[in-house]
Amino acid sequence: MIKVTGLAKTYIKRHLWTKRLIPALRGIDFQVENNTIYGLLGLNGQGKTTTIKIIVGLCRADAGSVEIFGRRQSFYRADLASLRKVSYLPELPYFPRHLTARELLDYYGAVFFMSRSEISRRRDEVLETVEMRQYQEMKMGEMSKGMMQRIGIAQALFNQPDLLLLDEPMTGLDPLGLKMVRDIMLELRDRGKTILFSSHILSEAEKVCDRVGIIHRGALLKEINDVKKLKTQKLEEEFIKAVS
Amino acid sequence: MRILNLAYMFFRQQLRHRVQVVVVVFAAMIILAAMIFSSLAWEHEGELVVDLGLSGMDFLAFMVVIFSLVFFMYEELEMKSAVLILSKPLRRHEYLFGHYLGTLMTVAFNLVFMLVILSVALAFLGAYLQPIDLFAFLYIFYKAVLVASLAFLFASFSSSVPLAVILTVFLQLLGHFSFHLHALGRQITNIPLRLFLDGLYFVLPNYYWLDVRDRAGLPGFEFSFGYFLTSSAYVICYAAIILYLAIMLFRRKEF
Amino acid sequence: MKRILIHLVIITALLSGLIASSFYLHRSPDWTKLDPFYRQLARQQQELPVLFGTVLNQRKLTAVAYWVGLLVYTGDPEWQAERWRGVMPMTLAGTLLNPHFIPFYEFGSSVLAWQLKRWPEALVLLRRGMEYNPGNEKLFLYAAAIKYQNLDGDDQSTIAFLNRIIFTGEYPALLPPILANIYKQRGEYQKALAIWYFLMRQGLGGEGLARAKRQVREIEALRTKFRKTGG
Ligand SMILES: Nc1ncnc2c1ncn2[C@@H]1O[C@H](COP(=O)(O)OP(=O)(O)O)[C@@H](O)[C@H]1O
Ligand SMILES: [Mg+2]
Repeated sequence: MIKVTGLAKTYIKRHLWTKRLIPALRGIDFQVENNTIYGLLGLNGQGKTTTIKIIVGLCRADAGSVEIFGRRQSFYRADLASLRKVSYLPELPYFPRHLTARELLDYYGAVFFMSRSEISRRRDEVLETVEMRQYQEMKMGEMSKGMMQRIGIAQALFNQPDLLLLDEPMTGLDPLGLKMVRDIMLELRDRGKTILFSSHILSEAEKVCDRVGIIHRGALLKEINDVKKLKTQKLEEEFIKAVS
Repeated sequence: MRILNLAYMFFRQQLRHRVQVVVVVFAAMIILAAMIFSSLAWEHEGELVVDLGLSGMDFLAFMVVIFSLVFFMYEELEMKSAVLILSKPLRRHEYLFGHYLGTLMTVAFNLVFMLVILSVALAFLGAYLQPIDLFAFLYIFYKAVLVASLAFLFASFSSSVPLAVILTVFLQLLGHFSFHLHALGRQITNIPLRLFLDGLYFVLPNYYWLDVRDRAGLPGFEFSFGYFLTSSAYVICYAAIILYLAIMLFRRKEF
Repeated sequence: MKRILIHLVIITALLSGLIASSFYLHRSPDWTKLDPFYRQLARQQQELPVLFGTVLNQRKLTAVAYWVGLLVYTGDPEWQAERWRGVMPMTLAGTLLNPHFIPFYEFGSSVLAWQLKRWPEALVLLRRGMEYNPGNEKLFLYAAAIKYQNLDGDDQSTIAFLNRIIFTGEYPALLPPILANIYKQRGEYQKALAIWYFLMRQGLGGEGLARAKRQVREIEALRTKFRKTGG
């Protein structure tokens, strides 16, 4: 489903004539199989977000390649055919403040080559899924962090994607929201979808992941193949062992 | 179709942000001017109000473009609401062009309202707009087309909002000056300086050619069909080239 | 490869369109030869606002500003000491910016000629007005009236001339008040009053009406004073 090979990235911060290099990824390889939930785990600032942004085409990799659905992705020429079946939830989603949730979803929906009736049907479905139907006339600027996160998840479900890239989908949610996200992820997996998500909340990752990769200082330290077989709290031990 | 949808949404967001206050400012200015002039200029108050109104529209159209630039850079690029839509099956050039069209829609919307206000004020004074005034109005929009393309170029290459605004304003001023620098520079004997001024005159957007508002009816200007066609071609080619550059830069942008 | 070729073709087409239209716009008549600003530039120094108005392509707007400034200036008694020295430069600057705005010539020349008694300057102004607006007959009438007054310095013939113009019905708006002023200065209050009443009957409004009323009051006062001293 996703095949990442030798991904490397160095951010360049220019300030007038000085140039600062910030290495973010130093050669990452991993694969996400069909119909699995893959968790990218790591501490803050270790390169999880960068990896996901490169996969979805928002950042350019210095080296390495990304394949989605077996198709090679390029930064300068987005592969619309695969993007139609992919969805992305950014780490800190920021929505246009002056649109209501409903207008926002209609706006995103229009990008997906969908008909008007299809858009409004899908919009109602996803709002129902994230339990935000009663807030659909609320402006995005007036929403709380958790509500925005829910709308972010709703827009990620909009195009019925086969592959979801979720960057820290659990941050900012209340316990009910957490359970909701977890249920949604598991249900999607059961329906045959594939999910790549990043997190630093190990206890949550443990509950949903089929596989995890531990990313540290821009490198993939370790992959654990069958998380389900680990005993409770075992993931935490493995994680600490890997990064220390 | 998808581009038009993007444009419309950008337009709508700007209206929610109350760009239309420029229309209110304009209305206040025109009503005040009409009241003052109606007792001060024998039978010529219409001319005064038209001159004042078109100049005001020109300035406010520029302000609307600046507003769009700030709004676009702040909301979409700085706060990164662009990433949500750019990760969808949408190309970068569609995104940028959609927002450009949205800016032009906002400008046109405000300008049309201002034109209505101006003609109502004129009707109260017993005057009306001449055909050439309508052309002058069209050229005000043409200028906004050029400025907006430059604004998007600066938005694509600079990540700082103040820098982009300053560059746009600076180019706006130079674009008005360049003809006169060129005309005054004809006496200069310093060849490199003259070449530099001529370069400015041809390379920068030349608003003198588009300021029909200020030149119509004054000596030395003949508005003809040929002039209309070529100046329209000038605006379209210029804006298209600048937008092309803007898209090339925007394609390289990382979020 | 094919894609790059398409881009190249589009860019070339746009660039040639830009260059062609630029040269057409550049070469079509040499505007500076006709523009009053550029024509005057070699001969005299320009006021700063005129320069700014021109280079910012805001000539008409600056002319509006000069017009308002002129009205404020002439209406302000503070400048009486220097006998409104600024009227001529202000009017010239305004007409340099927008030579087709007729009130500059009408108002400027009548203030200069009939109130400040600076006939030659008024004629210079009117000559410029006639040069740029050859179709405007009113300016010729003003000039003729001033010339008349100027030639023999005799009010009687000017009065006759003005009366003749006004009698035709197609007279510039400022001539009747000028005639009324001449009558007033000569002490023919009855005739002056008749003109003001006539103008008020014509349906003056706003500033004009206020001015007419003021004049009527002034002349009435003068008349009673004259009667007292005379009688
Ligand atoms: N836009 C950026 N400019 C410069 N450096 C960045 C940028 N984004 C991330 N980085 C740097 O890259 C490294 C990895 O960041 P990130 O991928 O966001 O980490 P994570 O998501 O795992 O917290 C960090 O050191 C961070 O400082
Ligand atoms: Mg992150």
